[in-house]
Amino acid sequence: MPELIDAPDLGGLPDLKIQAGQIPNDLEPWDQRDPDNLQIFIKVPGVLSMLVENGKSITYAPEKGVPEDEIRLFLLGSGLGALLMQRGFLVVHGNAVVPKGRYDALLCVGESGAGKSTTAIAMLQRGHQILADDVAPIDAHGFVHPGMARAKLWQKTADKLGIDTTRLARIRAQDDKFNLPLGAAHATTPTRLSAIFCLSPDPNHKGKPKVEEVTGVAKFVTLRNNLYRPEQLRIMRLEAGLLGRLTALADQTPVYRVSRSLDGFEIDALLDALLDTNEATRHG
Amino acid sequence: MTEYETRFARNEKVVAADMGGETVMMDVDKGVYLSLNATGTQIWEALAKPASLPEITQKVREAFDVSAAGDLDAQVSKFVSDLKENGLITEVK
Repeated sequence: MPELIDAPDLGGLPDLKIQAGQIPNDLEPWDQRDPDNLQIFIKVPGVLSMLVENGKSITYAPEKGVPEDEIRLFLLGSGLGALLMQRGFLVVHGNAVVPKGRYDALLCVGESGAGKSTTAIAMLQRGHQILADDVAPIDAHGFVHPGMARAKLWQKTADKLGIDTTRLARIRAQDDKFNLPLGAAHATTPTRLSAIFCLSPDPNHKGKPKVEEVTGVAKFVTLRNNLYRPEQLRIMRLEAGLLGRLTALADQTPVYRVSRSLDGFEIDALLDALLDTNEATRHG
Repeated sequence: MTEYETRFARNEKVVAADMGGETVMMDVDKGVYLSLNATGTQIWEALAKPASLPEITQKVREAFDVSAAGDLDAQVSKFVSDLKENGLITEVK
């Protein structure tokens, strides 16, 4: 899979199995299952069904005639996301960037269209590294773990940033969205989270982006609202167990709301604002 | 049994975590989040074991300078009844 990086050979048994196979259709209703046996059944109509178990295996059954890239998209999205939750990661929907010369990661979150992806790719153009694109797993020590070795690139983002997509592969045939291989621009070691930025397009905002620190319980709310597929956490009954982790991470991490105008999207000013604020956290 | 003898206990289906001196709570069954300010947190702490209104009030009195707080009994009573209405605590018989 081109999205993945090679792991060092540790010998012994594989850590994770992703295999095509039969999915039993007589699974117990989720609320009657053994809580120590973490399972989730995910069905993507018209694409595939998956059974993700105990943070160790994903068994999938594709529907007929579905192309491989489309299957991969869901295996590595919802499937791997659920598996990481089973392993105890807080999985955040956002983009993590390691600024040049720093050993920590800033994380951009926000609704679809908030500019997470554009921000991450513009960072990459400035020579910073992308640690995780779209799905950012955070461990119990507050370290963000590396994601896929690619960033998802929309054609309209590419146009804005002057990137030629003619040589890039589409993520799936029907979308104007491309796989941008990260290569050396991929940070591949777990990195301490330094700050969270919630990108907030605001119709009333004019001019340069404005950064405001979020305080108190609102920090928790920001983090909670930007978890990756929280319904999966709920189905696996992992949400309550993660509450302490969520509050601790929200408590120890500076969180900022970044308001920006809808038109214009002053990307250079936005990047400067994020990097300057992140730099200041080092001394904070 | 009078109001003052009634004891209240935390609903076991509620998980709570500290967030910089405030408390974030989640009702596991309902999937609903709530937060408590510092005083609310102190009352929640006082309910670590089932407690009556006078016992809760006493703990709050010990934790804060309440000289300017007005009628503390009434405030604690109001807050405890809010907790009860939201299903976060129950009366213990």
